[in-house]
Amino acid sequence: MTGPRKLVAALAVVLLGSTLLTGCGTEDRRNTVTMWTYPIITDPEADRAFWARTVDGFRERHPEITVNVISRPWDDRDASLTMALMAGKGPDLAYLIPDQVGRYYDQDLLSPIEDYLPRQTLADYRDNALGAVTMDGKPYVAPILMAALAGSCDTRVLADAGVEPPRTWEDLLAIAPELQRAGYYATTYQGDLNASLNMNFYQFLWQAGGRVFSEDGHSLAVNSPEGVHALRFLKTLVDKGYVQRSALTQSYQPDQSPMARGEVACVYNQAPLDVGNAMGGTEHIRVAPPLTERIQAAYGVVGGYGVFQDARDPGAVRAWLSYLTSTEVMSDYNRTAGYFSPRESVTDLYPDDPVMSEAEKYLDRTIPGEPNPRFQEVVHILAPLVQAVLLGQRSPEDALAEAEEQAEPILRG
Amino acid sequence: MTTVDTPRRRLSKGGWIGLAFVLPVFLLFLAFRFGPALGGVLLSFANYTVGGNIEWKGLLNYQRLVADPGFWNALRVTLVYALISVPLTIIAATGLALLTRRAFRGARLYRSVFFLPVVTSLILAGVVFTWIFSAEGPWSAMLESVGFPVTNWLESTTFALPAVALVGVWTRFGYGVLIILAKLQEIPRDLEEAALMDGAGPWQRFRRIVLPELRPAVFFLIVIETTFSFQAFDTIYVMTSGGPVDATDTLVFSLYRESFANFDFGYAGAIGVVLFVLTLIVALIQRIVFGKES
Repeated sequence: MTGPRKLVAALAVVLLGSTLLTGCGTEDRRNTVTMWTYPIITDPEADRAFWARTVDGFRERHPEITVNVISRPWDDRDASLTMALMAGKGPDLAYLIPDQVGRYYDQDLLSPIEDYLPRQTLADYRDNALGAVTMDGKPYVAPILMAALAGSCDTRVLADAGVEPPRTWEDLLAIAPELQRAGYYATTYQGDLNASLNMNFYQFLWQAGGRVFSEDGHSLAVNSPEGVHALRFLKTLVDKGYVQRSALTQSYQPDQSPMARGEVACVYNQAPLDVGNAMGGTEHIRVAPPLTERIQAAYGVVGGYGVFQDARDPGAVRAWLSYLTSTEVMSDYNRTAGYFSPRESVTDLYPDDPVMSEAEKYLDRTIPGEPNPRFQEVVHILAPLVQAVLLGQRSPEDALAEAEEQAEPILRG
Repeated sequence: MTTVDTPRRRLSKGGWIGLAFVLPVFLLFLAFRFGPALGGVLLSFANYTVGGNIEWKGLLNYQRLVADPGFWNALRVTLVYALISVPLTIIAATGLALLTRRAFRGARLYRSVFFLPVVTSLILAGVVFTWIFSAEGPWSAMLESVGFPVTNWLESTTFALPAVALVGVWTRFGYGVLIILAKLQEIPRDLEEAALMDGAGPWQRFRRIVLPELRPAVFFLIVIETTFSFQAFDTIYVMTSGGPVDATDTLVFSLYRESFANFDFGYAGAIGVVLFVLTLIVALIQRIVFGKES
């Protein structure tokens, strides 16, 4: 054989080998559901046990369907999910939160969950839970959990300073000097660029009566008297030393946070159970109502499972999602994970736990974000500007005007 | 008129076999380097969704770039980062290579230790340096001991960029030591000995003999380190996330954010193309300025 012929023969062998190897990887995806979830149940053992018993329970009803629950790490979850979807190796459904819904909807990735859930399940959801995952009138995620970021106060700090939990901004400013004299911060504000604006600036904006986006979602509404008022209030907390300044730029591991170290009276950017986990128990936590300025509002976590348009077997996904959102599974899931149910018929999950029972009362007062396809882009514009205000490098008026100017072409599309 | 026949060069049997051995690497290069790069350039002229839909937009993404103050800030931050980290990396590498050039007890250990940061996880380095630069960390303590006020450099819009650039120097200087050291071994000893006999001092010997000999290695390092500094991401991601405010928001960090947080792959592609052109221009300038005699 001559040189070029040898080369062609070698290439043919390589191509044939590759084809055979590729063929080994193909599989029949009918009657199979693949779901990506994350460590929402923080104890890995409990997480594995929950999904094992849930899948077993489902298989008793649908032995013909195989469910693969894949637990992924939280880090870079958007990057890994989008890469998998782009490569055609994505799951049929995945855990999503309202901040993600707008973007995935905008990319034509999600299917409306009306096609996948029984009518009575949809009708049973709390309005704010379903509203947070609704785009153009259709919900795109089946909520499975909720949490209210009501106040979590350290009873030892309150007792030491001789103060009561605040109910309003005015109360907070009134007790802050007492707390400062006793060596404590009144609250925390997490201002680093990885921190959620929902859990920080936005809830103060909502309490002031403001909104992030206009009603139609095509312009920024945060550049308003309410927005300026919220920023001025936060700036006062920073300037007077009522919050820890380093938290404006640095993130903390939960167990290293000022609250976990017993340096703070009340926090509003973590759920009471998360605060308890960081503090080693909830025995020193007293749940306080969400703060009020013009209205009483708190950020509410909502999480659920969204179905991708490329789901291999919609019938199997429908059966699995219906089971997953049933009252029985939802109760088990939330009790195991330490959350609340977004279904109105599933309540009183923690009758013997005073902290969780109290927190559950505020679920309907929560705002789980403002769904918008450009939510994340606006966060990336607004977060550094809010940080600049709190670090004293911009005035609230200038920062919000700049945010509006930068966001305008993005929101206009 | 006479014509001269030039015989076509034919590959020998060994040449074909050689080509066959090179071919897999060449195909891999085409598939995994050139292909994605070309894809990135094409993306910059389109809007691309995760679902695979492409809408061609012409120069729209580039027009957005020009009008985006965030892009100009990221470009400035990237250049300042490079201006801090590249010279410091090369100075540190040259200095330490000269110190460990001679054979002395423990020289090999030192050389290995200098190379350790190169193979250390950048994420881990970022976490450790976040503590080092914190108000409670050793950097603040050291500055305080010489009269500077205690401050967390990563909280400062002025010092955050120098801080992450210093970490960049720490992660890269070991590679430079290796390159400079290899070149130093090639310099004939008799040149320096002759200069010594003629009464040249250490600085004169370094400036007149060592430095000219090091020129090719230094040129190589400038190109490599500039390219690396333009791609700085991991430590910034861990230490500052581009902040405070936008003080450490580099082009690569913007590219990452636009693609995987905002799903704006076309715009991210445009940033990538600008980064490529910038790297190319800087490499060409460096070649003209430093490379002529190398």
